[in-house]
Amino acid sequence: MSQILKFIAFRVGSALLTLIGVSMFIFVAIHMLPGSFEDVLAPRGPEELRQQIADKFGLNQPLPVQYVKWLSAVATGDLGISLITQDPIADSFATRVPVTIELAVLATITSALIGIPLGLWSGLAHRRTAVSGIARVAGSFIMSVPDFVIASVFLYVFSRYSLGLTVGQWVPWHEDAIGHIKSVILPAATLSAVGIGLFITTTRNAVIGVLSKDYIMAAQARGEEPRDIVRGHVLRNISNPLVTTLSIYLAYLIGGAIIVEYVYSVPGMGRFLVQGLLNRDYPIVQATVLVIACAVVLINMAADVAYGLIDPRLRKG
Amino acid sequence: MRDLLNVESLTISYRTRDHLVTALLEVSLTLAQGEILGIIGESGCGKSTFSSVIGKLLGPAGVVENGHITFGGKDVLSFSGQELRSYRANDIAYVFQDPMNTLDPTKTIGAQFRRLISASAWRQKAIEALAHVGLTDWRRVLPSYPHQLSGGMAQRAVIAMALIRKPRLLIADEPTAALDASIRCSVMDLLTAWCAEIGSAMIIISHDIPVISNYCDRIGVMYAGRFVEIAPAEDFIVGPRHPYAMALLASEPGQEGEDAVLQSLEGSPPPSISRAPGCAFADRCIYRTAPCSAGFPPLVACGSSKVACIRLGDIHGEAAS
Ligand SMILES: Nc1ncnc2c1ncn2[C@@H]1O[C@H](COP(=O)(O)OP(=O)(O)OP(=O)(O)O)[C@@H](O)[C@H]1O
Ligand SMILES: [Mg+2]
Repeated sequence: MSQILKFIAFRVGSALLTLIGVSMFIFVAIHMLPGSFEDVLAPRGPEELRQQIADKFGLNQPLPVQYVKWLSAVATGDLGISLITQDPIADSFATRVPVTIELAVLATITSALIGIPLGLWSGLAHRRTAVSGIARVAGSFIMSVPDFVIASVFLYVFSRYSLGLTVGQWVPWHEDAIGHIKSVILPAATLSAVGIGLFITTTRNAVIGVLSKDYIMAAQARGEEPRDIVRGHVLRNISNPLVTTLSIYLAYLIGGAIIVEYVYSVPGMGRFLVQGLLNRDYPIVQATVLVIACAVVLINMAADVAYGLIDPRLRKG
Repeated sequence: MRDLLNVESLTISYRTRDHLVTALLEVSLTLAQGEILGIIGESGCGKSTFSSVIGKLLGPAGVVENGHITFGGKDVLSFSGQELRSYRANDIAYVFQDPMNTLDPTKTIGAQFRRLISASAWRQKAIEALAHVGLTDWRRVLPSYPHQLSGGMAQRAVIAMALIRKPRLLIADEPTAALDASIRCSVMDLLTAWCAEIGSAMIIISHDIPVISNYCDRIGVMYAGRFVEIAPAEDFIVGPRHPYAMALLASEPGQEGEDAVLQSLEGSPPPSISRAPGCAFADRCIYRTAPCSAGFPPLVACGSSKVACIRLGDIHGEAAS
């Protein structure tokens, strides 16, 4: 047990180190983007004004000092203010982060709940039924269709036949719970489609790989029930590839559901980031990228811990 | 002694993408209760196919084209469902080559024993079984994962798992091939000792002829999907009859004694097992004559052995009938 605790502590520690590295990288990268704060706020302004702006944001201080100031502000929950609107970024995040997380988690759960059983079934039956072949083809077909295509099809179909769903408009939860659910379904379904294909394919391949292992044959040779073999040996041994898929997919959704957010006018992080980039609103870009990176590092850490819990061979520090 | 296992003209092939690959051809064999049979032969001659079909473990590609297997009077190939599982669980047991692959990497040895014995006394039984194979340190072994054990310890644990339910037949497919040479003998020792204790018969496949002749009652030599010689171990080791067996024995390091006249094993076995009539070994045989390629040489009694060679009389200067 203490070995497991040590292993978890090690993973958490290395995640923290990664976060510090990532934050430095983001900070430097943003500062290397062409165009400075002054250029954004007062493109043709007089020198004094530009100087004032630089002073206000501490832009004349050495980069390491600026970094430490930024980081300690972030640590207290102060993500800076938007150059354009002068609103505190943390306030915008308070509404946007939950939206993105809600969509990402919903889509991940939906696609895992549908994709894993289909993949499992298809992998277990892969030599016996034609249906299993169909599942395989369907899996790769869904995966190969870009999400904006699926979004467009959904938009077209559901704007004609609304079926009670809200299209292209986001209703916040606290305003109207039912309306919220109606507005969530389409973007979540669009995101899930890709995930279902992904989960079918990964699960299927993992199952087929495990079934060819000697310990499965040995279990059969000992007369274990097929049901017990699946529950006891197959499920446990396909868990690691599934955790990988799960974490990559969740991270992808948190950082990259931009197109779907655009198509369905979802007020999430993706859209915020793109708007920030287009307006050269650097504090927004910096804060958004940092939050997304934190989420990805945390997801990876959770995945690493899960790997170790599932497979004892990976429990080394 | 009563027959435990009876294999009768068994022909097996594997389905591949475009054709059937033959693995066993008209193989017949009888195994008495408690008897230890060793099987030798070059790679690809069908040893593993023979051992796995006894437990109906050919895998999805395997096809039984012809033949019967009877175990304790029952028709094995007709088993399915619960009957098959109980046969595998209670009558036979397997030990495979690589213990690390045979054990589930995600479960402790204790957990794997527990899947085997449902009784609440599983722990006590497991401890006894481990002691039987020389693993007295059960406090360390039971909570260990396979990768935390050495190959030898893992194979001992596998043997304990195989014999704990007292099978009537143990099938060991190269049980020591993945182990360090220094412990092969001790693993063979405990395997045979335990089998003798519970009266279990055993089929051991090995490439290690000296070891196998030490431990077995009878030795079967396979070539291209058939037994070409089946002989009592003590007769075999002093004088194999079939030219292939002679060459195989002579090509063992340390065997180039007085008898090593011209026996050396040139060439390699045919890439795929052919059903063309004639002795499959003829191409590589130094005693080959024209009639060798005419028909399948049947296994015929020759003293206490059975040999499939039409030139036995000429080679050994005695009547082969
Ligand atoms: N699943 C399979 N699909 C197709 N052909 C197979 C399969 N398994 C075995 N074979 C073929 O059947 C023949 C006998 O194989 P088998 O594994 O029984 O040989 P073996 O004597 O155990 O060899 P080795 O000493 O290398 O273990 C070989 O020609 C092999 O290529
Ligand atoms: Mg083999």
